[in-house]
Amino acid sequence: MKKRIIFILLFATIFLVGFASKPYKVVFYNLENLFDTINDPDVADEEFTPSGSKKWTGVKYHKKIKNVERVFFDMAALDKNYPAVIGVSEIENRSVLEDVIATPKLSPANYRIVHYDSPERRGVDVAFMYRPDIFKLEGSFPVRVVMPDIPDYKTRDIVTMWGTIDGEPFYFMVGHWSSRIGGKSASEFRRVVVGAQMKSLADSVLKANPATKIIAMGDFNDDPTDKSVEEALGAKGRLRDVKVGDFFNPFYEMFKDGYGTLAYRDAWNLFDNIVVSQTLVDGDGLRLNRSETSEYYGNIFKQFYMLQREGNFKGYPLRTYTGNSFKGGFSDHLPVYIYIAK
Amino acid sequence: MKIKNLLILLLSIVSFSAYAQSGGIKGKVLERTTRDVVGAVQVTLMPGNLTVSTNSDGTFSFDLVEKGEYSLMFESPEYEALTIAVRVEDSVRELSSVIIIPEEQIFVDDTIFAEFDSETLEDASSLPSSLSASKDLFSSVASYEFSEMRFDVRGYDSRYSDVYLNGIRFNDAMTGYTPWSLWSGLNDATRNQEITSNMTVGDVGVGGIGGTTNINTLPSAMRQGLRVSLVNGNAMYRFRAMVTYSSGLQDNGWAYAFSLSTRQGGNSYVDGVYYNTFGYFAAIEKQFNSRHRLSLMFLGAPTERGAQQASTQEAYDLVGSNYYNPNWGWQDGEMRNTRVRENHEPIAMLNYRFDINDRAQLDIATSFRFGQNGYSALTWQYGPDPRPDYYRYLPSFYADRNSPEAPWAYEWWKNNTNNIRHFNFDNMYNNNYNGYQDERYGAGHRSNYMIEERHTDQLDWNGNARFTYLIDNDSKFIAGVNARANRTQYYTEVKDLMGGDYWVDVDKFAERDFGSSLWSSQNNMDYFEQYGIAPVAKEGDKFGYNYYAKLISGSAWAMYTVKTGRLESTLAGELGYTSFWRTGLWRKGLFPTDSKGDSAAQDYLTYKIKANLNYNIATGHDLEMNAVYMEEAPEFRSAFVSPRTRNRATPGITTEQITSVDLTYNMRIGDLKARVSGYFTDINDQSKVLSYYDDVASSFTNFAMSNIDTRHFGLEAAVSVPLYRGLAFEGAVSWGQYTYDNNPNYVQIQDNSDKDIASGKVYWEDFRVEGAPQFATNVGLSYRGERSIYASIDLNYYDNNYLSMSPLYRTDRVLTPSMSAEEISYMRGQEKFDAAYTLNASIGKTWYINYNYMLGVNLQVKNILNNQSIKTGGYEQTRLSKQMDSSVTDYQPFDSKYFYMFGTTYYLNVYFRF
Repeated sequence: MKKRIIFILLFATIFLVGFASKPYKVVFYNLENLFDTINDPDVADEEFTPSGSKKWTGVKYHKKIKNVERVFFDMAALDKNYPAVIGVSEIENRSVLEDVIATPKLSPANYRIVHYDSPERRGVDVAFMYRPDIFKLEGSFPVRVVMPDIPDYKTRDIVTMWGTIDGEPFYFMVGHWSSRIGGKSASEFRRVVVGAQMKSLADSVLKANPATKIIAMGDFNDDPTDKSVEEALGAKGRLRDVKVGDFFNPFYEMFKDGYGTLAYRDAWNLFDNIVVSQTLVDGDGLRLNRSETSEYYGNIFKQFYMLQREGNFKGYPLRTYTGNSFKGGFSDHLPVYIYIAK
Repeated sequence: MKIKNLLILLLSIVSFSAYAQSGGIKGKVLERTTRDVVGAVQVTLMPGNLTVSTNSDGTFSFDLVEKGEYSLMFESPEYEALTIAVRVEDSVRELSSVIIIPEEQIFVDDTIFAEFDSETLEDASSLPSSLSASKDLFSSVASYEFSEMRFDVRGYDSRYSDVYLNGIRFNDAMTGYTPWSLWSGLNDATRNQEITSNMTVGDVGVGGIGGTTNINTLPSAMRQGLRVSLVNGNAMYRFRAMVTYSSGLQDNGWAYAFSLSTRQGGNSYVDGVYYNTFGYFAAIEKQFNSRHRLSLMFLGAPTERGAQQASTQEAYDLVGSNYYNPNWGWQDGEMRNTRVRENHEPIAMLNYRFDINDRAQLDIATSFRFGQNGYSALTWQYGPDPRPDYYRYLPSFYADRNSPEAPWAYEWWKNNTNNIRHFNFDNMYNNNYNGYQDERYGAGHRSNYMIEERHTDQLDWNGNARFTYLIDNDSKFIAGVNARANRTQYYTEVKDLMGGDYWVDVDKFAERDFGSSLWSSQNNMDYFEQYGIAPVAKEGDKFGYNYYAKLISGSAWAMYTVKTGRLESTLAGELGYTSFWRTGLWRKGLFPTDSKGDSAAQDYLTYKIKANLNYNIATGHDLEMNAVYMEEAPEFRSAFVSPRTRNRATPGITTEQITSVDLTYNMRIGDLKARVSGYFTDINDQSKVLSYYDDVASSFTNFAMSNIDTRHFGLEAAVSVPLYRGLAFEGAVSWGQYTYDNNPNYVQIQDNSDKDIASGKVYWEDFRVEGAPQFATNVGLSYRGERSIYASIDLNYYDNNYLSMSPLYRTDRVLTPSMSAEEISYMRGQEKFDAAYTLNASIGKTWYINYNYMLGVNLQVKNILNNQSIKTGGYEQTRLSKQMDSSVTDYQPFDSKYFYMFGTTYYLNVYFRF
């Protein structure tokens, strides 16, 4: 009898500890033009229609959705725990995310969506999916990116949402910063503007409640060591440099060590970042956590099936399209994630 | 009145369009999991506070909504309330599906993970894969810049590089050479290439020491769309046109592609050369489901190309051009080239892939190559050599003999009197018109001159299978088997009788040596025995020689690659078997028992072992080490002393053994890139057969060499330094020393009797391997600007380029007792070419139109300094002139023959893609 009680207690402890110790995963993934197949007259999405140059049909769309499902599910399977928050970029609208969420392997997570239409020319947006059992949403808002010298500049909004996790206040931002079209240096000022805007959003949030835990993520189109990320956004690469009000970039060291999330001209870039406020680095409660198997706080999800296996682009992320050629792959980017735990 | 009407009209248009522009919102409400429509959902539009309810089919709409930002609230009992933001522009906003979620206990069901344990996912932070979509720095300079000097990386012959087409190795079965000419001009269709350099193991085969290239022509892998390009140039041909279309992979699983091309015209430097070539390619592929795909490809390149022949410096100087081509003559006011390559060897190929699962893949491929490959030459039966630059026609021949005709010959050559520099077709035609008549051979006149075509017609079958298994993110295993069967028919064919009516097929050398015996000069003894006379050949008929080379080979190989921490290791091995033999189709008069039928088969068992190690010292710094030991079967062409006439194998023929190691340091910090390599290679027991008229023996002989060892070692370095905004400095150096490492054995055999007339050593030790500069360096600036502009300028410097040596000059046979040490070393000395500089530049731009069309222009200019005295290669003749003034015979080598780099050339390419 005694023995039995001990066993039950033991199992209960293991169960509780196992359950409680599961950290929350926060993910960002650039989905490389996840468009639906319907022509939206208000945006330039013609190439992603069945009659467009990419012949974007239901068959291809379905394949893409299955691929996205596979990646998110395999990320969940890493520790058998669906990501708590997923930021995405390059989606056309809310309904494509609904299709992702409704897939058999992801539907058990019961994700909710925070999405706003961005004024971007091609109509690609950023959005959040979150697990309502973990993140208690209180509000959300799309912040328009303002380019001081270019009044008509239209780009992707910064989508923000706030709420609580385990009762602690959280503020999330996801962005897709201006591309490097025209050259890295010539276009850098635009990314600096967006980085600075994200930073000032964080500043105002912290002003209102200095205990807020802020997570900013996105495809920054710049590496962690670039000016827009390190200076404008203030995402420091070393923990000891992180002061109150700063961000910490868990991917900085990874980039320095040669890791990346997209490959260009035979080199890895790390454009996809998730940065956390100082309150998640040395505050109480939930904190940025490192997985047991990794020496980094940041993680890049890279499985063999997400990479090209042959051809001269071997080792590059397996894309959905190269030019107009359908490759049936996942994305030209790799997803990134971090762990948050007590 | 009219103006008023117009205004009304205009106003009505404006108001109409204003009406059309007013937007709206339409949509349909669905339930999340079932995707069933939900009726009676209350939809509220804010601002405006308009409320509608969804119909029973879930639809709702708001008309006449002005442009602006809105939010829509969806409320229904039993469903979570949903608010979405909507932007209305000029038209009706369609929300195809608004998903609402049933209100229930939020419960995340992760039981699904319980089923999910078959596949273990690994630590995601495996080190990033190394990328090599573009060639590494050094290889790219070597191929774009140094190629003008016929540079060979590390001094290797092209047969040490393996070229695969869709997974099948296509190096020529008879010569080992790379097969690029089979698809020349089909650049678009063969653009998709996976390249490994030097000793790196490829995914399609272990490879040798010269790298592997796998060309992938599967239509699903080709860039979708149409591509058209036009080239104008003056270095090889005047004009090239190319059209390629690829469907890409369609939803029904089909993909197809085709390509057509043509190249026409000659170059600005060498008379008589021209291209008249075409290329065609078609491929179709079907992916049956996610696991099986089958593709069929067919390509060919019908080619007609006039060739250039090297000549002596004396001839070049007399003509006043280093591009003098002795191959042609005037006929009816047109330049006619006697040496024309005509080939059309199509390839048909079938590829099947079975994706057994996510990690395992089986590739099966089979190919068939067939068709014709001919190279024409002028031939004659009796009388003097009609070639214009034959040594007896040059002024030096007379001058050496103190003949009074010397100044005449000089004047004639200088002024091209009677077209002395070129073939005289009129003379040859007249000679043939008046050729003797012999009723035994039929009506008409016997040709004394004609154009023959030497054929090498292959039937080449390949089959292979390859199994690829990704063990995990960091390790991979590939194994494969290959089989090949080849039958190549070697023969000569009458191409043009040049005014005569037939050709009498007898061996002119045998006729001269054994004039009294009719049978000995027969090329086709069976015919002679049956009819009592030699066969006659009309145009298109075979004559001379006719035999098959037959080859069967097979191999099995495997490679395993694994990354452990910062070290990536690859181990690979191969076991091979090659068997080949000659099958004579005609009985040769001189060798009645040894010419017809099968020769003894030569069998070779070979193997290869290879290791590649790559150690990542720190980010951007890699150390790479490779080593290989391999044995290769000799090539058919060097395995028989005179396959045209008989079955005798080359004395001393054996497998080649290659040992090679290299060490490379690679650096990449941002756009700053550098690479330094050192290598050391021994290639032992090579064989070679030369057949030529030997002035010592005064006979046509076969000179069979074996046990040729060469040693290649050196350093390579390349660097790319970004300077300012897209401007970069680039440089590369290749310093090597490629030498003959021993004195090979030779056996000299009289061709007419098969008697060994001499044997011994060829004193080649420490002489240089010919054919490529052993020192090459490049410095350049490249610019990649905004708006897709790019430009480059390069300065190249070459040195240590050596002339190909005649082995005869380095044997004891040419020595006479009277020769002094200086005379011997003069005889044996190897010519080193002068060092040379070249300056090249290129500029290009691409335009993107509507994101869908691309137009590009690219201009390259080479040898801007227009230096026309850069020797790129050449060879010593095998002939010797005898000086018989004294009691002993004294030998002098003939003048060497050279090729020169062209002066300034350009290449303008305009291409359009969508």
